[in-house]
Amino acid sequence: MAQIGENVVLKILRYDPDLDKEPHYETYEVPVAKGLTVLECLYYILENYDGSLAFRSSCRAAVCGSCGMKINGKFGLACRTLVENLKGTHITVEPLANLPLVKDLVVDLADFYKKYTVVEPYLIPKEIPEGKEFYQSPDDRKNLDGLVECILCGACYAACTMTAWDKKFPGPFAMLAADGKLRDTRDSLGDERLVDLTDEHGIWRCHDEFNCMEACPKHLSPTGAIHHLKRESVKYRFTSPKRKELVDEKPKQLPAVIPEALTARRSFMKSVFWGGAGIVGAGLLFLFSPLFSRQIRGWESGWITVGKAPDVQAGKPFEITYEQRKWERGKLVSYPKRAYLVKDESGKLSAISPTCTHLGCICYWDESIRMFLCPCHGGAFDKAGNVTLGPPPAPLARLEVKIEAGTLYLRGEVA
Amino acid sequence: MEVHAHEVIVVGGGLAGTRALDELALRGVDVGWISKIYPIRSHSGEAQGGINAALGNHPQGHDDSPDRHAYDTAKGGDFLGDQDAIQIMTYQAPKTVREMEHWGVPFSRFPDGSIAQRPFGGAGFPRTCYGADRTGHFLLHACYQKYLTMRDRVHLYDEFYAIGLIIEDKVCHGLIAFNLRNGDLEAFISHAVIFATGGSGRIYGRTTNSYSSTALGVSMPYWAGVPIKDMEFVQFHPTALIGKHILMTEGARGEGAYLLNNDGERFMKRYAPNSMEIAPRDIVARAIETEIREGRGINHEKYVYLDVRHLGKQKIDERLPGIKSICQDFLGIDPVYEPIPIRPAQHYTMGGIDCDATTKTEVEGFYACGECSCVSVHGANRLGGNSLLETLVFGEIAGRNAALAVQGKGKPKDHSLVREALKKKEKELQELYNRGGSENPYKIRDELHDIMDHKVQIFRNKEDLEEALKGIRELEKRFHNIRSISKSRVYNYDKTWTLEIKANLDLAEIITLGALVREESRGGHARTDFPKRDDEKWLKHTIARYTEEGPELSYKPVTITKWQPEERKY
Ligand SMILES: Cc1cc2nc3c(=O)[nH]c(=O)nc-3n(C[C@H](O)[C@H](O)[C@H](O)COP(=O)(O)OP(=O)(O)OC[C@H]3O[C@@H](n4cnc5c(N)ncnc54)[C@H](O)[C@@H]3O)c2cc1C
Ligand code: SF4
Ligand code: FES
Ligand code: FES
Repeated sequence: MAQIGENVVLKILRYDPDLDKEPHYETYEVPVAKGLTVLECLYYILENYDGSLAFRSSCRAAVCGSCGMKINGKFGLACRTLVENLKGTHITVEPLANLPLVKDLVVDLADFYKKYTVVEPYLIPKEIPEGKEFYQSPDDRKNLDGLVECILCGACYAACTMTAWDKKFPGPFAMLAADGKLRDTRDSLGDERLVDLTDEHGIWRCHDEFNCMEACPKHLSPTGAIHHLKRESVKYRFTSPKRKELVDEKPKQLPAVIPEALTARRSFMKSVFWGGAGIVGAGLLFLFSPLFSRQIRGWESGWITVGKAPDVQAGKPFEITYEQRKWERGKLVSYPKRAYLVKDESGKLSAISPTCTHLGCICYWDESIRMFLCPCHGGAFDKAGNVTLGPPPAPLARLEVKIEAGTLYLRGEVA
Repeated sequence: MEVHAHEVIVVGGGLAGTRALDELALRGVDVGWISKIYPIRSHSGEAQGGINAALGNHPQGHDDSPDRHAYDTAKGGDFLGDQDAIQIMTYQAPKTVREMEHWGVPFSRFPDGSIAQRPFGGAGFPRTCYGADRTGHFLLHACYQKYLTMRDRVHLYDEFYAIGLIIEDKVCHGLIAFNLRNGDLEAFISHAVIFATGGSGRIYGRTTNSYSSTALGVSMPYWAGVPIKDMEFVQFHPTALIGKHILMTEGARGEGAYLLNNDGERFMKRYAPNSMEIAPRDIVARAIETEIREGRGINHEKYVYLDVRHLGKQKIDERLPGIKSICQDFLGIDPVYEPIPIRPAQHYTMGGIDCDATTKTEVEGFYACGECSCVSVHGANRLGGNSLLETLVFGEIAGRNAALAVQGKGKPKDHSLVREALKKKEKELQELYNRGGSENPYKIRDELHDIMDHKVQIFRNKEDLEEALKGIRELEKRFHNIRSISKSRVYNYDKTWTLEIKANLDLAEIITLGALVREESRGGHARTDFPKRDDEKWLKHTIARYTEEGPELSYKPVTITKWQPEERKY
């Protein structure tokens, strides 16, 4: 810990879009005084060394949410971080993650604010009482504690692995806001608030890493809010018929093919629900049964001709598509499928099915972190298909591969 | 050179500005909304204690009324407030607070489910409505959420600094703003401009205000010829946490907190035997400073204790959770077990852009509301909980009046005037940013803080004020010799801060000059050499106008409707 009278060294991520190709770090020394905060250090640097240092701030009292950033690897508020509470004499300061970097510690928050908007965080009452307030019991008001104090600082958003993986995941803070309105006795929207939150980009993606809670400078629990939303949605209905588009992003790959198994399960879920709430519990068990997503029946077996064998680089999964055929009511129907060809160091070629072994969503290869990521609940797999993160209970399935006369054939596990 | 046109431009994303939007959008007006920080980051979100309205929900408040509220406000302001405006505000208050509740503010509740109220300084009845100690945060977020529903009519320009008004022949045509994202100057033309730029607390070093509460929002109209009113009336809040000067809400005392000196004495009994800790702020702040000056500060240092321990953990967690976490975060103490070290600090700018209860100013098409304005409802001293109320009531009025004024005028047309103004501003900034001198502008700011904290503070006298005025003018001169400012294009805060410092210097001069000339003591303005209020000579508003040689002062009468000035006893 830096002592009063000594200097503390700040290592700050610097990036000026006009000058730099890449972000880099620069270090500065700041004299330590009692109660010195990281925000004050930044001001010291701006005022004494480099006026171009960019960072946001306003209240300096941990209530406006301007100064969210990454300090010694943890997301939090610069104004609330006292230098004397940090270990060591060096402090690394970086911008919030999961948001585009604009300059130094300033990120573009447009998406962040947009996602807040999408959950309709405003009160929608049925009718407004004439000349008086809504009456709300102290207990009903107490239910809102922990949901309405969010300062939109973005710390949870930056810390959340889900936001990193799914551009359409609204983020912990937005879920917290949604729950705040859902639980408000004055609001009239009720279950409708859940509709947009329950699709594959919504609450079900959260798999309780608690990163948001750990980061939140206001000690709020977005995870808790998401839990509540999940419980409420099960009561309501599982899937969502409509959802507003969040980010105008073109799908990079194929339109995701919803595996037969998953669609079957969803319609089953509905009938379970509408059949009587009593079976919901059973439905849930069923839902989380990993076995279910892997049962495949009625597919055509044997080698499938994929086409001309591509040139695959060692260690870099290569995406292919092919037609899988299936007998349905006496007819042979084609389904488009995806697989990844993987060549190991010894040159051996294999194929991996991207169907997540958790609940059957289609994973994609993310070259930046070199993993297969599942868009649904945070499942991740390494290049050999082994689980590295999240709820999937088993490695990604493998298919048999053969190349004959330059043509690629696949056989085996299908989904 | 980008030129934007909107029927009405609102500057300020705090409560006043955000409240104005609804009135405009409702009437289909096309609005450009400018804020130098994203709206929810505004200072309004920092307000803790609550907002006043004579709802009569409190068991002891059944006899409360808008007139009682108005009387308390007039008396609290040492009778400098315009009583017609005060009555407008207090009569609007119940509707305004309920409306906020309908917009979603999670107010704390009484057992019967009505909005909870607590006692506050200078109020005859407990009438301060609150949401724990986060009232400002809740209000601001509710207003911002309301804005989200009218995005089709309101175009938000966040991280744009308004830096110059375009006024010709007393008509406002728009303004020039600095776009932080790319460093460009952009023009905004409109039929009406509403200013809601907040307080100027950062003229002082020891202030409870945000970094963003600077003088620019008041200096800008001043430079453009709009008169400024009552700037010498500065409120010092009695209880700011030592070190960072973060506010410890008056709500703490409203809930029953004690003020203790080094002898463990509740010294307020010597200053306001009836109201004790919940006397008006000017009185409590002077009491604390007197204790400190006379050596009864804790350990003879410059602070006293705010003690909430006897309220118990449950009440503290329920009603003052924000205070508790601020103490834990910034001083590492838990107020449940330890008393809180506090000292008065600058808190509120009573003065501001001269306007009346219609929010109109001398300049056609230029409106002001919120803390940057001076209607005046607070007079010489604002009562706690009245400022949030003011922002909402007059924000609404400003929005409505501007909407009515622009009706049928259509989209404003491009003026050559605007382009000229833009060019002029560009040149002016070029010069400001490339002075190539030797002075660090931030050092000048620090010295200004020093002067204001020590010489234009709670207790004032001729000698101090004269020295201060000399000091400030000296700094203004030195400011001509500042070093060149960073050339960076994107998010260059060096540029905006430099401008803010210039604005702070100019307003500091007006405060000091007004204080020096006003030879009496009234509300927040306490002259040790003129300790009495002098209604015969000084029951009038100070008006300052820009001239090349410095501010020119004149005076304006106070409107008295129902309540003749009387002695303030608490
Ligand atoms: C710590 C604290 C606690 C308080 N608690 C209470 C309380 O409990 N009850 C009460 O009644 N009052 C309280 N007050 C006072 C009250 O909070 C303020 O007076 C009120 O919030 C001011 O609101 P506003 O809308 O006028 O301005 P602000 O909320 O300050 O907003 C100003 C806006 O203007 C914008 N702006 C400023 N300059 C420019 C520019 N040049 N260009 C573009 N945009 C600009 C800013 O971005 C900001 O959005 C408190 C004040 C403090 C300091
Ligand atoms: S939930 Fe917490 S971490 Fe997330 S934005 Fe809100 S205050 Fe910040
Ligand atoms: S500056 Fe407001 S939260 Fe840090
Ligand atoms: S389906 Fe749940 S992690 Fe993939």
